[in-house]
Formats: sequence, structure tokens, C-alpha cells
Amino acid sequence: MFEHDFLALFPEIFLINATIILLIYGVVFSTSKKYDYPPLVRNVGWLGLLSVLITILLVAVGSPLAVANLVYNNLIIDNFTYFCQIFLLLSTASTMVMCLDYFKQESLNAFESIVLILLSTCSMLFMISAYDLIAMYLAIELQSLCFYVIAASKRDSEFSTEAGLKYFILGAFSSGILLFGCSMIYGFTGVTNFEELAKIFTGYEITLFGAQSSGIFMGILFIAVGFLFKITAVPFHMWAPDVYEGSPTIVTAFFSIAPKISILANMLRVFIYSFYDPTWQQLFFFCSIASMILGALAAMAQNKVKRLLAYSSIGHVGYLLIGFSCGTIEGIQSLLIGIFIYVLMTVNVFAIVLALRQNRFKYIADLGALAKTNPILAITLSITMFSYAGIPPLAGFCSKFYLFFAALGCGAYLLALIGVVTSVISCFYYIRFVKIMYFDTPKTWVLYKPMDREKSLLLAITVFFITFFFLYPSPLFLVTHQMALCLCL
Amino acid sequence: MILFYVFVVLALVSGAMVIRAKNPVHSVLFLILVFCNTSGLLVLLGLDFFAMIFLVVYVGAIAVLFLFVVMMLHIRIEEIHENVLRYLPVGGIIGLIFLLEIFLMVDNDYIPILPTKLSATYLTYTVYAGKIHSWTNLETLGNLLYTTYFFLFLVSSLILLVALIGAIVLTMHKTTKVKRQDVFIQNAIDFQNTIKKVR
Repeated sequence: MFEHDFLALFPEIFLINATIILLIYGVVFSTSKKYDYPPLVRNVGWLGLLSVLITILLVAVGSPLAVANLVYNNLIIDNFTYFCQIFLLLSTASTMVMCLDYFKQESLNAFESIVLILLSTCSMLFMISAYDLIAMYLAIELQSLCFYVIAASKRDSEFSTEAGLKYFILGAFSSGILLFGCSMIYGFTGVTNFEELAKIFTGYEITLFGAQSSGIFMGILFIAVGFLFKITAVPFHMWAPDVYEGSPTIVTAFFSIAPKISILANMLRVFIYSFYDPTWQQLFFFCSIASMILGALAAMAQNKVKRLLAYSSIGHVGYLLIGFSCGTIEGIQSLLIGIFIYVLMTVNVFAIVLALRQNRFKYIADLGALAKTNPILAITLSITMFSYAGIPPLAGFCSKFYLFFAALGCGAYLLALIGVVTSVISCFYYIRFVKIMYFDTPKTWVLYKPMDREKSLLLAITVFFITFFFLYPSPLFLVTHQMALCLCL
Repeated sequence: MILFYVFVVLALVSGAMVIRAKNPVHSVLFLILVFCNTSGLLVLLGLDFFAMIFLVVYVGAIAVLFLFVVMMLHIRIEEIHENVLRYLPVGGIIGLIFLLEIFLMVDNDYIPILPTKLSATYLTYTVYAGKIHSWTNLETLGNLLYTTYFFLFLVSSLILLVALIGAIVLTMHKTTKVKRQDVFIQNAIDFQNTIKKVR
């Protein structure tokens, strides 16, 4: 028990310990009179980034255990969790790179938010490798608790406080629904472990009106609703635009990047591995169509950048759910490719949003004539927007192509059709960015401050990837194929 | 058996007093009495851990919270003179429905063990009485929580840590404008000079 489990969990243990040490460091030194109450944000930020990078290294080097059930079947590690964790840690690291400069400019001296980001990263690692309903619920709860706090972390802004409160109340509801679903499943089957659930559900047809227990059906329904709430799929998306708009921009970036990976990974584990059944497929089918349509239509009316990005992320969740509702290996693979590319594009967009600041980059119209004032940034943003829209050689096209292909492969023609139509519609508002940057002359010309070097590196890497992904996509395909096989076999 | 009746009668009486008491503070105190008696009943049932948790959670946290809320709200006692009978029909119906549901639930088998029908002739008796190895609730819980489920225990401790950090982050202001209580100065104040009568 001890030698294997602690060896395999070493990255998580390291991250928790580093976080707690950082917390103590911050508490002790930021209140010390001797050093004149130093603002430790940048310091703690760099140290936090360093510990995330070391954790990536620890995960990537890997323990000698490739596949194992850990801590009495509460966690699992295999190829799927391995790649998901590395990817999650990379995206967290990129968020932290963005936040280094942000806190200084906003003069927001809260090193606690970095500690909370680290803690939530840790919970997301647990969420990816959760193998038991209780472990899953606890990880989700830890993550959302951190999120409520960092959403409200800018206390002197009313928007941020509102976002935190709204997120807290709605998130508490969704957690309650999720927990209710878990307890229904436990009540009607008597097990909480995913593997045992998978054994029970093989060949067990869950029908609402049939002879079998409707309690299990309701349990799965509730769990699905809880999850859809967390990833902002459409009937349960109400909180997303307000929360995304209200929270500080760096927190918005974190919200729209990291939890998408972990929650989708956990959903795949729960629904594809444990409850493999056609009954939930209809639900995801419906949510996917609704999110694509709403993401395309509602984003057109927005003129604030963060709100628009929130709706665009809702639309992308719809596209990802296409892969989910297929339920085939190709579907899962295309979902994983899709989330990878989505995260890269989102990192890029938020780095630009954070880089453009005179006072604050809030409305889309503020972008006017960026092509004159900062041509390189304008080209970067327009490449990303074309990629979001799915214009052929770029990475965004590849992800959408494989998602629609998977939908066609399993006979869900309606999904593919609506996907194509909505992505054409959504081209309108993505390309509007380009139009404003290149062809509009603003009333007042604004000059933006130069961005810091970390962000420029991040932008360069992501743009390079987005542009040249089509030349050599096979590593990603191999990796995602292996991950999908890991879940299905 | 006498103890059981004592607890039941006290719980019921103080439960009624929660509703009847004019002073909200008194009714919260009666609520605490109800909780104490119920935990006594739980001990009699052999649920020692539940009794403990009941006291800790309900009396220690929730009832004290209620007391604070009641004291802060500053309700005048004279203002509360409503007709109790007004709420009787609705409350009575809800109570009756609740009672009916409980009678429906008692002695019901929720989960049939197997969907197929087994004939009873196959079954033989096992004398389970000889196999019982008796542990109390506390021992069982401790054994499970610190061995099999230690991971969950640690994760919940992290959740509590986050709650702690969150409460501090969201409420503590570090600027100089905030009025803060200095304990030493507060204790050193001369009570004679703080309040003066102005003629």
C-alpha cells in the first residue's frame, strides 16, 4: 500500500505540500512589520508557477506504475489520466504565466488567489483520476469552493462580488443535484466504485418505464445535470456569462480553460466507463444541439469582450458534447482533440485580452485600428479568431472537422448538420473582430502598453501551434487514440 | 424504559414550547433542549456517534447561529401576537401527509435483492448470531475513516482549509482605513471615564 500509492501520488502530494508552504510563507511575510508588509503577489506567483512546472515534470517522468488503482480503489492512474493531468497542469501553468503581470498592473495584492488556484489545480488532478463517486464528489466540491472565492477575489468591484455570489449559489445547487444523483445511485446499487458500477451496468438496460429500477435512471439523470451545470452546457448555462464577465479577467481565463479539461475527463470516466448506456445519450444530444445554437446566436448581440468569449465557450462546449454524445471511440478521440485545441485557442485569446490595456479592454469596439497601432498583435488575434471560426488550414478547423466526422460516423447526422450551420453563423462575430481591427477607424485612438515577455512567449507558442498544427497532427492523434482506448477497453 | 419516556416527554413538550414561546430567544433555547433530548434518544437506540454529531452540529453550530440571528434582528416581543389557529389547517395537513408517508415507508423493502423469484426451499439457515463480532459505531467509523477511506478524509480536510482561506480572503481588509479593535487598549480603558452624563 504505502510504497506503491505514495509513489504514484507523488506529484499530487508535492503540489499540496508546496501550496501549503507557499501559504505559510505568504501569511508570515505579508504581515511582518520588519519587512514593511511586502506585497508578495509576484513572488508567490513565480514560486507557484515553479511548483506547477515541477509537478508537470513529476507527472511526466512518471512513476514506475503505469496502470494502478490507488488508495483502496478511490483513485486510478492509467494512460488517460496521465495525459489529462499533464495537459491540465500545462494549462494551469499558462494561466499563471498570464497572471504574473496582471496582479501588478491591477495592484491587487492578494497572494491568496494564487494559493487558491494551486489548490484547485490539485483538486482537478484528483478529479481526473477519481475512481469512486465519493472521491469524485469531494474533488468537485474542493474545486468549486476555490472557484467561488477567486471569482469574488476583487472585493472593491461590485461585478466581482456579484459574480462570486451568483456562482456560489448556483454552484451550490448543482453540487446538491450531483450529490443527490450519487446517493440515488448508491441507494439503488449499493456500490460507489466506478469499476463495480461498470460491472453492474454491463448488459443492464436502464429504462424509465421498463421493469428495471427507475431510481438508477433518475440517479444518472441527476449526475448528468450536475455535470452539465459545471461545464455550462445550455439549459444550465445561465450563470456563465455573468460570472465570466464579473470576475477579474485572469480568473475568467482560468475558469474557461482548466475546469473544462478536468470535468470533461471526469465525465468521460463516469459516463463512458461506468454508465455506458444509450439512455443518457439523448440528454447529451439535446444539450449539444442547444448549446451550439445558443452559443452562435446569443454571442452576436454582445459588445463586451468577456461576455462574447463566455458565449463562445458555451458554443464550443456544444461542439465538444457532439463527441461525447456519439459514445464511440472516434467520438471520444475527437472530443479530446477538440478540448486540446480549444484550450490552446482560449489561452491565446485571453493572453491578448490581458495584454491589451490602456485602462481596461472591455468593449469589442476598443479594438479599433489595432492593425495600425500594433500590427503583430492584430495578426495574432485574427489568426486565433479564424481558428475559432473554423477556417480550413488552422487548428480550429481540424477539431471541428473530426467532431463532425465522428458524428457522421455514428449516424448522428442532425448533430453534424446543426454543427456546420452554427459554425457558419458564429463566423460572423468572430470575423467581426478582424473587421474592427483592420477596417474601422476609431473616434479616439488608443495606444496600448507593451506586454510583458512571459505573455509574448505564450502568445508565440500558441499561435505557432494553431497555425502549423495541420502540418504534423499525428502525435496528437496517437495520444488521444490511446486515451480513448484506455477508457473503452 | 423510564429514561426513554422521560426523553420523549421532554422532547415533545419542549418541541411544543418552541412554537408557543413568545420570546424568540426562549424558543431557540427550547429548540436546543429538543436537540439534547433527541440525542439522548439516539444514545438509547445505540447510535452513539449519531448522538454526538447531533449535539455538535445542531446545538454547537446551528442553534447558536439561530441565537445570533435572533439577537441581531432585535424583534420586539409585544409585536408578536398572532392567531395560532390561522396556521392550523395548513400545518395540520402537512403534518398528516408527513405521518402518512412515514407509515408507508415503515416495513417496506425498497430494494428487491434479485429481480427473479427464488423459491424458499433452496434456502438454508445460517446462524448469524454466532458470527457476530460486536463493534460500536465509533470503533467502526474510526477503523474505516483512518484506513480505507483516509484519502477522502484528507480531501475533506483540504476542503475545510479552503473554506478557512476563503473566509479570511473575502473579509479581511488590509488597508489602514478599517476600524480595528486593539485588545490591549480595549482592556486598558477606564470604565469610569467612558460614559459621562451631560447635563
